Amino acid sequence: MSRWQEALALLEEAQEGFAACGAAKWLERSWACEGAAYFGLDRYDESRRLHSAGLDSAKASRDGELIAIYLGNIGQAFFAMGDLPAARRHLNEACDFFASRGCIRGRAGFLTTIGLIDLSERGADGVQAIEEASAVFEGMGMDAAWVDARVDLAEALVSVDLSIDVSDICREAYERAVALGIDRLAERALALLEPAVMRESQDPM
Amino acid sequence: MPTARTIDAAIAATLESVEETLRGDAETVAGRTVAELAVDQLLKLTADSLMERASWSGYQSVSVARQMLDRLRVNSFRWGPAWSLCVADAALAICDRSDHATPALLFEGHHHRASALTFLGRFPEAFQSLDAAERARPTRMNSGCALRSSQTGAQTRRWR
Repeated sequence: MSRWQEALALLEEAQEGFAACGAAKWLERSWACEGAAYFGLDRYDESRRLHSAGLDSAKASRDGELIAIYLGNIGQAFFAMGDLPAARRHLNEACDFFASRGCIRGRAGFLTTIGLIDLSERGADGVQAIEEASAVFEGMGMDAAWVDARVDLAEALVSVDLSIDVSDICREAYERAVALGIDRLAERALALLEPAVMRESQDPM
Repeated sequence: MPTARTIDAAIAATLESVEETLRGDAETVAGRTVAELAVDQLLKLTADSLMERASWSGYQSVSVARQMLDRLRVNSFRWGPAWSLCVADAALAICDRSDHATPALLFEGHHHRASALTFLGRFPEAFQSLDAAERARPTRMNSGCALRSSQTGAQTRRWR
């Protein structure tokens, strides 16, 4: 059983608990976790549908923050499914909401995915959004989110142009991922770092 | 002319007095208002000063702890996780020294602490806080209530 399946089992137990103690708000919020778990299992459409149900519910209860969270999560699901216009529309709406409330951290989380869309559409010229998100994470001491954003940036850059040198980005991300004990991110950084190091060692003087 | 320190000392003294007067009673509007003033002052401090001030006897009020956690909830997407963690720690420190801290309050404090630690990438400590929240949870609250919501859980999909 994967960690995401474990999470789903825990969530099911939790939701029964919320229903039993009449914690409707918590139940409503738990759909965001459930949608994230489906996303983790690469079941993006199920994830999107859950977040959409959550969005309807959040709109009915007029919970602006929750509406923004669900909009952003739907945007991320659309991004994973390759529907970039729909992803951008939802993510922009979520970011605009957070920006209007001065919620820097909330906005930065979704700005990373907008940055990935920019990179896929404009290549290396589209780094601004993801750099901005990285700067927010760095400033707030959110090291794990920072590493995630940097590895995403490096992967996106290489995917649009194999000749781009991402070794500095990956080296720093790898070191921080190791320090944080986030093995999967360290592995992703290393996977990009090794070919770069190989290329460097093969370059004639 | 009153300085920030004298205002702060006055608030602390008033809080203590209100707590003393209302001991055993339900929280009143007056108590909440004074606590609100105290929290306004506390949240203007630096992290170190906040933790130090939270240990003062004048701030031994659960009303203060409750309002700090309320502010934390409202500002969770605005504040940085380091400051959120500091506010949660200060609220829990106040609860620890009060005889009137409720399981619900302790649960909420540990739950906010766990969220902040997660965003800081301090996962083992976050799990410890979730365990503490689980132990603190009110008896009428089912185990389901020990889980936290996820803002951008989808982004964490590849971390571990």
